[in-house]
Amino acid sequence: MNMFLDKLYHIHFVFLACLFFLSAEMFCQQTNLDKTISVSYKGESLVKVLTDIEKKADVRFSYSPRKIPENEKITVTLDHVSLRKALQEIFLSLPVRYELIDEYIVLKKGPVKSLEDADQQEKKITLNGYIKDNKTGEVLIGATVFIKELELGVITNNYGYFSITLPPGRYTMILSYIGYRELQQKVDISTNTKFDFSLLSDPEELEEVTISSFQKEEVIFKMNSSKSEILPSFVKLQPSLMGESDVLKTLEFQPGISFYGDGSSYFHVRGGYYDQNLILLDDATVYNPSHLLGIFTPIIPDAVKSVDVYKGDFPVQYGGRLSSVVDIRTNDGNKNAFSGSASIGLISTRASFEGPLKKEASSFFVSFRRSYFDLYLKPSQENLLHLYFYDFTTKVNIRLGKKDRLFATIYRGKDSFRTKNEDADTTGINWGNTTATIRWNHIFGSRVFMNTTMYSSRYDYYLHSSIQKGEYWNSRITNFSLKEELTFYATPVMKWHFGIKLGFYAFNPGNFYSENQLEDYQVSPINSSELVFYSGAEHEVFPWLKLNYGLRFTTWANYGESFVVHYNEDYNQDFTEYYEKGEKFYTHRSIEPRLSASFKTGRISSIKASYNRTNQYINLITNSISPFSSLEVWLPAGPNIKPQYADILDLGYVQAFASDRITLYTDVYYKWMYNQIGYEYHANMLVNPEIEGEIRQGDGWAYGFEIALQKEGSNLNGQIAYTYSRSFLSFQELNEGRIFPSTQDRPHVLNLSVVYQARPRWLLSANFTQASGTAITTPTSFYNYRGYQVPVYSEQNNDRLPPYTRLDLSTVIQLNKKKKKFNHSLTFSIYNMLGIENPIYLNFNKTLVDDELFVPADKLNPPDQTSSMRYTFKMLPSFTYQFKF
Amino acid sequence: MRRSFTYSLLFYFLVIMCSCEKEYDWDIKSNRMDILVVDGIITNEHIAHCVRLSFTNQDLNMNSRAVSGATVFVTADTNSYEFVESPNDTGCYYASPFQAVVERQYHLMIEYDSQTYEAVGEAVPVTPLKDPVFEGNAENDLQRYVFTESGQPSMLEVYYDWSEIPDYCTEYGYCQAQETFCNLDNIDVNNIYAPPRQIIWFPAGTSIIRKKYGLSEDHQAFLRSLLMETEWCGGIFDVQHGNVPTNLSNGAIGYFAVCMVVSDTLYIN
Repeated sequence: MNMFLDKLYHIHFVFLACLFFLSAEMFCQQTNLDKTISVSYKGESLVKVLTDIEKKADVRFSYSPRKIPENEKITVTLDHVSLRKALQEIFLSLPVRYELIDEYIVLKKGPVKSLEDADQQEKKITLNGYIKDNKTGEVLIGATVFIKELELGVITNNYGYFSITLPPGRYTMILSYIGYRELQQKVDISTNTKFDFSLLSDPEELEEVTISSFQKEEVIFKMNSSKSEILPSFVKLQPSLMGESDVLKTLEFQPGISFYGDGSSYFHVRGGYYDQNLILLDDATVYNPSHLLGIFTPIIPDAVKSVDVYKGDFPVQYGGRLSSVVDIRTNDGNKNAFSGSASIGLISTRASFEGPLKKEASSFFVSFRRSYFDLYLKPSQENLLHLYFYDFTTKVNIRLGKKDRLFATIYRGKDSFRTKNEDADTTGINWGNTTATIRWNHIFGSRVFMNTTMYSSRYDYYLHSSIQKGEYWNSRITNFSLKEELTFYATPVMKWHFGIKLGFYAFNPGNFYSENQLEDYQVSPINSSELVFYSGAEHEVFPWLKLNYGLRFTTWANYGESFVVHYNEDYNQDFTEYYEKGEKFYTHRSIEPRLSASFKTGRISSIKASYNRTNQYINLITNSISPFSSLEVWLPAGPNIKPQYADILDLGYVQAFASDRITLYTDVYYKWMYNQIGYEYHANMLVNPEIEGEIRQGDGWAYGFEIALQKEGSNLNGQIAYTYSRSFLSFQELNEGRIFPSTQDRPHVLNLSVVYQARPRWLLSANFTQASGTAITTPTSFYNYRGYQVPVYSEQNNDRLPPYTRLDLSTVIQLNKKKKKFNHSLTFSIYNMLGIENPIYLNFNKTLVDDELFVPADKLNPPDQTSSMRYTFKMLPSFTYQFKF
Repeated sequence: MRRSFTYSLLFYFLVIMCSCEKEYDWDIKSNRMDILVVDGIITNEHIAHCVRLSFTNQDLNMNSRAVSGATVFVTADTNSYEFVESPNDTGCYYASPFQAVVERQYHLMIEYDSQTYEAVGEAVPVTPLKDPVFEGNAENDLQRYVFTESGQPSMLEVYYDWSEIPDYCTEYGYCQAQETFCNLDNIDVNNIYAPPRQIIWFPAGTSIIRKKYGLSEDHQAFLRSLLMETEWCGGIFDVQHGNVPTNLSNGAIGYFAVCMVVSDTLYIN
């Protein structure tokens, strides 16, 4: 423990040193303004004056001719004064202000100044605070703070915090957030000031989108390319399977994201494998986001405040996966009043309750969902003991002082299935995710935001062959991490992020237990550590150019107690080494550069370009082609598994139209993926001590084009998106070394998602999706062997399932005539309205007997076999009753 | 452990609850290539062993196209056994009766169309058969064989003959049937969740021959892959498809095995 604290102390020291040097660099930049110059102008135009100063002081001005009065006549004589003083004199009485950004003096439109104002031009003060929901006190992530006079804007961070540095003066602040009324606030600031603002949500129960033009401009210019934001309030309005609103399944309608198939929680992002998606719930990883084999996912919208999805252009704070980060933030809870909501559906009921622990200061939130479809099944399945899933989320949010906040979140989700077998013994399956997060936010001064997070995740899978005898198979991944992040609001146009993360992982890749004891590991457990340093900046270099740049340094190490099997070049066991507890046997270091640029091409349009490198050290080990989740095993990179990494290039264009209510998003990307995981054909994956010998590694690449048109309005909201995406793999040992399309290669995907407020109390929504079928491997011939018809394959993923088509509809009817304390509504949904049977598999090994498909048994008189397909949901209607109080 | 593991099959109903399977027309994208297929097992029985040669078929349910005119030899140490094509059963090559023994390598050599195909097989001992277990069907007084073999990897072929019950011959369509069971070392998800297999029910008066083959490691790997692509395929947890391995050289497929067998004959009253 002492050693750990000692290390942490050193890390902190390095961290603060970095901060010091960066600050010092910024102070040094100011010295250019101290140069001495002499000038004399009589009725010269401002543009000539600026050109002359550029020569005399060896400086460069940057400005938009539309924003400064360049033909204004200047008469001034100054002898041996600082450049600072000269600029004060020249811009006196002109609506111009300046900022020193790197080597440029950037001229911007500003208020007309008196002499006193001019003296204060150089004085900078910081305005900071939180933006919250007026009703609940919940902080708002991604809200915009805009200073009208300076045309400067910032966006609140993941904790609703903002900080902006300005000259003293009187300003009009415009605060806006989607779905909330814009707030204009006059402020007169002369010293560093902290303001907390509250925004009013729209009064309509079924929410109307409110968006300000300032917000749109800021968001379009500053947003990361390849980023999507999912609003939980919209998720609730979307049609859903069996009425179960599902945050993760909603991702299906985002360009570049496709789900494996109906009934699957696995999704692919831009041609990446599904273990390349990092799903974070308040920073803690959710390893298997599935209930009931993946038909549902554990994240319910009631518990969620925001969902950010990064498909590329990853902020420097995120890493560890190649393809995407889904950052889910849970509700903080209502700080002002007690409230609750519940939803009763066909297969589950969920409820949430929130309220203040101390009014306007601290709050709690708790939500619970439990399924009850075993009630339907028990009458017909006499051996069924139980079959259910549940989710429990709770969070407390405590204000420790003006500058300190503490959050604690716990999530537990579990699936459990138990049945009696013929020996009157009990068998079953259960799996679950548990996460816990404790976060402490602290503000140093007014410009440094610190976030310290301690979090832990655990994912378990149990396959019980005998509950009575204590016989079961278990795989598990557990991690515990500590993360320290600092955000330094250096200038109004520059923000630095620094962070350190120290993580510990424990992997059990699947072992059998008898009498609840493990005699010997059949598959070696592995312990790992991950140390990450990162630093990056968000830098608005010019009013038309914003750069994000940064680096992540990661050190991954594996430790005993473990045995490591070494393989020869034919992947046969060579020798086995044993490592004592705590003994390090593998280390890998990586550097991940992150760079992105946003060029403002108009008030509400911008071009984005980014390059990212990402590394992945943990891998889901499965050769399953099933869309369903089962017997999942995780293994880290190590002596036999090289870490995966990817280089991602992305180019995007965003443009808003029609009073900013319609936005066009386009993206082109290319992704090179290295050390991708493949498996020897018919690999032995369960309880195999040589499991790593079944792994083959190769390269992959994916490229594509995405276009989405998003409409935000009072009555009609929606999005239409088209994705062209290709994904290929190449392994020396597989498919005879030839390139083949990966399972996630789905060239064309078209999505349409619409929410329409038909009447004040009646809302309609529809989702439509059409996509190319999944790449599959089908036989190209057969042979007969002792009564078996054995398929022969020529190439991997040589074929494709039929195209996938689905239309879902839903309607929400508000049962209250007027908004009251108690509100209730009814939702009707029809999943797969067209009743299309979308195949998830094709098979060639069944025979039809009395309209049922079986594998033939008689090898002497083998019956004719037929091709068959399995599909999940045809047309599935459902209804849900919801109420809020 | 493995046996009890299979009880979790009941989990299968979860997916039955929410998924359906139906016949579906699908055009096989045939590669139109003829590949030589070898199907041969030599055992410790003193019989005329057979090696069957055929070509791959371009579609499902096609009759095997026999390979005629090949030269087939099996050698073991200094012994050599010639396999001669049967005039009544084209593509089936029989040797004069001989008996394989354990711990001896048998080398198969096939010459066909100016190509030579080779394979090597070696037998491992086989353990005795377990007592048979049958399960009755109260509705129709028929019975089924319950596979209970465990321990050392093995393949069990069960031959049924109910030719003494002509009514059942008519009902079933044939007077004989045969099914194969395997007891393998591995635990595979797609085996645990394998799709339902037809059940062969037989009436009283059926005679049953059980033949149990001991499996070498390679033979076991071949059968495991074969089952993954046939009987275990099409459940809910399929794995990436791939060609079943072979011990034949030069691009031929199938398997040449040498096995020790034990067998018995049962009569069902």
